[in-house]
Amino acid sequence: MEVWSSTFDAIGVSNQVTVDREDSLPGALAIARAELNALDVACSRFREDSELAAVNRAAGSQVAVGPLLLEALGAALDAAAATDGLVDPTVGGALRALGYDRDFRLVSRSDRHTFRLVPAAGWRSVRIDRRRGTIGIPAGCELDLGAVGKAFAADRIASRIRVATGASVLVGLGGDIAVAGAPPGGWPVKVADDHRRLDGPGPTVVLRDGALATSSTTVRRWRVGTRTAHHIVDPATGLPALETWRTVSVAAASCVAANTAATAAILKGDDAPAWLERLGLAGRLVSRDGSSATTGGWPEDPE
Amino acid sequence: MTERQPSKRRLNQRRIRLATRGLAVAAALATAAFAAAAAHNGKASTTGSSASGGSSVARSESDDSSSGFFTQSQSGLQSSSGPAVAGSGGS
Repeated sequence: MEVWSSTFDAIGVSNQVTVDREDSLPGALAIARAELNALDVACSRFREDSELAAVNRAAGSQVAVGPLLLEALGAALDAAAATDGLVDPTVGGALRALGYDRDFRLVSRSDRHTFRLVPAAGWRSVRIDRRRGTIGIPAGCELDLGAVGKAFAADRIASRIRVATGASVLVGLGGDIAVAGAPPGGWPVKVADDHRRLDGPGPTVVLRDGALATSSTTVRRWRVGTRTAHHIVDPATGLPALETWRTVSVAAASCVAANTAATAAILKGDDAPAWLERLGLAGRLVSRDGSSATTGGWPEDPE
Repeated sequence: MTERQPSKRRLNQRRIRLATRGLAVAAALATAAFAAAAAHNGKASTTGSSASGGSSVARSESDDSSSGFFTQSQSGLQSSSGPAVAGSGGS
């Protein structure tokens, strides 16, 4: 199998576009870069000029936004509804109170010593008026589209590249992968703690359609005084999730669904395998000691 | 003879107690309203209280709301011992 690939940094993570036709790569890359730039302008919590930042600043009133933020927030609210509020876009205030209040490269270098616990306002408090194109959140609430926003972009980019070029494509945004079409052997994907370490430990699985996403408590960690925080926060308490699992990887029909299930599984802790099994989703959960559990037809690791 | 006035400190403490009680009542009312809304939607819910003693978020034990959202991929996954073209992991 011969494929052509390009990687680049954007939205605070490393990203990848891989296609099965060499002449499609430049166009595919241009689509990915343009989409991620548009997503950043619409949905970044850390850009003062983003539409999301404007919504957060104007908490308590409705704010006019563009269709991209409306659609991305709609996906985040769908994720919240499907997880009964475990994956909630109103955790922005909780993350800020824990110290994740700027681009992560700066957070990881900060010497913050105090934090507060701020429970999320709750996804049901978000008001979307699609006819007027406005979003409103209650006073004191702050939105963070986080991982669902990244997964939303992966789905969108893969679909657009497939339509525009006709090539089979794999899009990886910070380790969350969406594919549209596949070469004859499918897309072999390494599942690991760090998505950039293709030579590291971890199984390789072949993906032919849909998406594969991994949520992890081992990355985006920072010190707050004598404690360590990470980026997956329980909306009910404002606390980082218990570290029952170091990583959870899930395959699903879309990257938004895969990412949502993986993040919810981290938050569900011991209940996660049974929950994924009930949903029929293929998942691999790695505990703190490195032992793994699988669900929903996830293939056995080769000996 | 003048009536003895409570000290300013005692007054402040009483205000704080009253304010705390008011917040607790408001939180309980909000929790009850949230639970009622969840029950109205036909879901059995439990409530997780915040460690800070603040507001709480109702949670459903039902998976009904997830049907249709968590669609499986069509082809499923297969294992491979060959080289990978991409990685899925934390970022």
